Amino acid sequence: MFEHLINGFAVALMPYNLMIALAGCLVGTLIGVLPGLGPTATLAMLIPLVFSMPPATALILLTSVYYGSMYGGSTTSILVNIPGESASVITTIDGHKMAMQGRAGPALAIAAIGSFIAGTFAVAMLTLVGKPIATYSLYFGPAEFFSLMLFGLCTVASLTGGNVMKSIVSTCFGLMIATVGIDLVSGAARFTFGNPFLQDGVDFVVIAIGMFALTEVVVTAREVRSGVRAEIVEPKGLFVKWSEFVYSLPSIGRGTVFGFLVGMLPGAGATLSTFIAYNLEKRLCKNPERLGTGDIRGVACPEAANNAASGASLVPLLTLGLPGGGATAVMLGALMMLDITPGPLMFEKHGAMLWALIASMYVGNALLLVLNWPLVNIFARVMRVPAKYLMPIVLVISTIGVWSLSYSAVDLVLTGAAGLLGFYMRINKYPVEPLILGLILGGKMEQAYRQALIISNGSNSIFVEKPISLVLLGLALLFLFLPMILKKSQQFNAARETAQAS
Amino acid sequence: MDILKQFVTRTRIEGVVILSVALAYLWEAHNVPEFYQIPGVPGPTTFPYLLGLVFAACGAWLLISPKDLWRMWSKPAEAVAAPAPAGPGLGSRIASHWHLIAMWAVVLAYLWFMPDIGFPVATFLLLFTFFYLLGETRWHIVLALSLTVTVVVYVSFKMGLNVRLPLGVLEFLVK
Amino acid sequence: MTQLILRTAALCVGGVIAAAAAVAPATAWEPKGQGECIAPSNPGGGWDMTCRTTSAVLQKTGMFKESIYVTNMPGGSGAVAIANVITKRKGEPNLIVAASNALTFTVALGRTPHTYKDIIPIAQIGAEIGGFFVRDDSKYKTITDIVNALKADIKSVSFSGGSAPGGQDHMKAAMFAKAIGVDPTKIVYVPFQGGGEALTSVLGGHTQVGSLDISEATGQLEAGKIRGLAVLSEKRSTKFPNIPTALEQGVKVNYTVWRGFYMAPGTPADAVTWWTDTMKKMVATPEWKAEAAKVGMEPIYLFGDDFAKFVNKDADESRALLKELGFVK
Repeated sequence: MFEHLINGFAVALMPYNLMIALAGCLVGTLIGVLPGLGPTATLAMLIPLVFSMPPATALILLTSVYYGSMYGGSTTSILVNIPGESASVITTIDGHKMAMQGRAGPALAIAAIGSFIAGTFAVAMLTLVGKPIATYSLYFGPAEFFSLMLFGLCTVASLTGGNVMKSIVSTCFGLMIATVGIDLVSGAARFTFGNPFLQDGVDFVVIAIGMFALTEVVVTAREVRSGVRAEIVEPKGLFVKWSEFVYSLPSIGRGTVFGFLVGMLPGAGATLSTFIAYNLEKRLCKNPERLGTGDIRGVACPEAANNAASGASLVPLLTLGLPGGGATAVMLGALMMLDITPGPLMFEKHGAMLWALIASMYVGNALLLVLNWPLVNIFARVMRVPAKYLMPIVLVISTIGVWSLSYSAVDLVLTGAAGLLGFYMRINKYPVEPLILGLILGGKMEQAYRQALIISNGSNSIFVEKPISLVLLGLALLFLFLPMILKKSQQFNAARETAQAS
Repeated sequence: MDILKQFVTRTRIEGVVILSVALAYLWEAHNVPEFYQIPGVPGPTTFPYLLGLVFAACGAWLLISPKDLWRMWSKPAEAVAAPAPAGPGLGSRIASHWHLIAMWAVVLAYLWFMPDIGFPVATFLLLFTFFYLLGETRWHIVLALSLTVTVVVYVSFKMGLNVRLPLGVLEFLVK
Repeated sequence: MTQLILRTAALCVGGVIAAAAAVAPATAWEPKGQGECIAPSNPGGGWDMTCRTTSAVLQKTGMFKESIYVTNMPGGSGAVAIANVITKRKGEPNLIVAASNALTFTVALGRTPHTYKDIIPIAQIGAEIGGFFVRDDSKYKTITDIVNALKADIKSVSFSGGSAPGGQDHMKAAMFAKAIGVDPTKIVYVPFQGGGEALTSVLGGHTQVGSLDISEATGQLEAGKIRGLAVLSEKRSTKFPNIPTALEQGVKVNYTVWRGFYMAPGTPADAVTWWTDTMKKMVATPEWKAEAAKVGMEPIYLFGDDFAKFVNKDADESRALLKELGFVK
């Protein structure tokens, strides 16, 4: 196997391929930075190019772009509080606060380092134990998925600010938006008002651009205008200090592992993994109260998770020929155009090419880390552009991001509505993240629930009869109520101590 | 009158809004057309009904605000003693927030009209007004900046990324 | 002044060309400028592949001189694209739109106010064969086993497919049920988001039978992870001739997934003719055959009026079946 891998490296390190990989990483990062244009859109744009290249080179280009855009997604989250894609929503919480504290450089750098570690881990797992672990994703049927989604939804608890009611309202509204469109399980059109543009539901990007980008632009503009905008602290240092790196290393480790496990399940994807990882981080790390105030671990953990997840989604694709998320479906299409039929026999039939691909993933991760060195420098400077010039431009680019989804005026109108709502929510301290989580998980969760019930002929017991599902449900309950129990026991202990003392 | 003023809090208004959204949603869920369904399994309306009810319950809770009511009831004297400062009238509020309202109006107008009047013109107008609203009053800078940004963004997205941006009123240029 | 002269000159040249065109019908109409192919799906979807392969072959073989770019216009299983083409792109001679059975169901279910009569169907450039697949260790060895199991207890076999109920994968299962005389409305069909997920569910043992296209199952079939019990076409698949047809096994189901193109209403007749002829020529090229084989398309073609008649009939039949199942009132 190592022989194959070395052969792969020989191909991946050929000057031409290396150049393509570098170009792909750069283009991917730059496009990934643009809000609304994520990995899927980027890959799709490149598919025509695939025809005019040798197959191995084409694959290298596609993966490097995929990786690059995953790296780039966190940049806008950190700099302007607008997630570049759904997997970077969580990063806004700590990332943007860091940027406002003059630590944009370290935040961007740790995102890159975390991504590098996670990405490399995912490829290493793919190389060493890809096939055996990939079969684990087959154990996830609809019942297991429902429990996983429910578990994901319970992570809302870690996102709540002070007011639980407001979080519930926010989550519930997100879930409601998710029900718009043609219901997959019955084929019925729901809440579409006869508009074909609504039949496919409301895209995450539409809501996110409205709630994050429009709101941010207006809020910043208002602050600038009335002169209350907090001065961005002069950057102290561009890169991560060694102590900060050591401090965030455990978080990167945890993010990587959870990201990998969740990302490998088809359809669960990177976003869910970031929410779960952040939630676990809040429960597991020391000084959890620092998370959410501009803690570097709050960037490191979700960024590691989402890159591990996007790497992991390639595991079932390459070993079993089953696509994971949206971007891997595009990769699947590209593979078929290169006359590679995705399936368990891929490695036997096209081994040389696929090993080159795997080698190029290692190379791509390393390239991205190197590439980020100068890029962090450039991006961190964006913070110095006066907001009065930056914000209108952000607004225009975000609008293009929405427009490019399906060239639909309806999307733009919905973005505007989401913007107004987001603005109100922000002013009145309704958390936005639960809404986003509800929107992302809602559709899949409902689907999985009903698919499971079709399979079980309507019996709810399927969720507790399947062991994985049962465990996940148990964990969901635990995470929901553990904080309360802990708090109670602490109070109890404290009370007992005071009683003993007196 | 005081009691009434105390009762109409922002939370309660939110409660009313949420409750009405929930009811509208439930009504619309009720109107989802009957479709093919596998018997004995939740259909397309089950989940929406559930969500609508939860949302409605949230709205009702906010509307009633039991804690608030309890406080009012238990300590009426205190509550009356500290009446909320009378808010300014609607007119003066609009006047003090004209800037914010103007910004939203510009943003929403941009999103609404962009597909029709075309990306270049709409974007130019948006940037022009926005730079101005954000306190850049030197008109030549505003003009130059808006033009440059519009052209650069248009060209790079159209040519570089193959995003179809509508030309709108400039359509005649290519014909 | 110069401009005026130039314009006059251009007019003259134009006139000459027009006159020449009138004399020689062989060069009646040639596309000018870039071509466009609308794929009413996301990148990577079936329609996207149709567009991209076609435009690649047309350019590679020089049948279309300039580039053809692919526009993705997802939404409502083709409903968004058909509405857009009819209202906004009327008469554009360089525009083709990818279509397949999925559009038929969009039309038949009334998800769009338009029908095939509002557009100009030009060609079927291939077909995909669907079939029923089970995991390699499944107790069902032949289609007869499934028939017996369904007849004994219709709830005992669960089908999974990549389309919502009322879509093609569900219809295959329903037609099958109808053909063997069990109630098609009672069949257990679990819809998934795309064939890949449906296949995963079969591989994981969560559902028993996958109602899928052969192209979706190819990789797993080659690896022996799943077995094909029947294909639902007249002839066996060229790629997997060892899978028997349902007809051979005495079950009267014949249902192939066609792939093709339509053009916007109001397109000049000579442009339509040009595209129809070009498609006819294209499917005969070795380049096309190679591409079609890659994505598992069978060489089943229809052009022009034949194709238009076929899709209209397809829509009527689908509507009848959907009515029987209770989808259309």
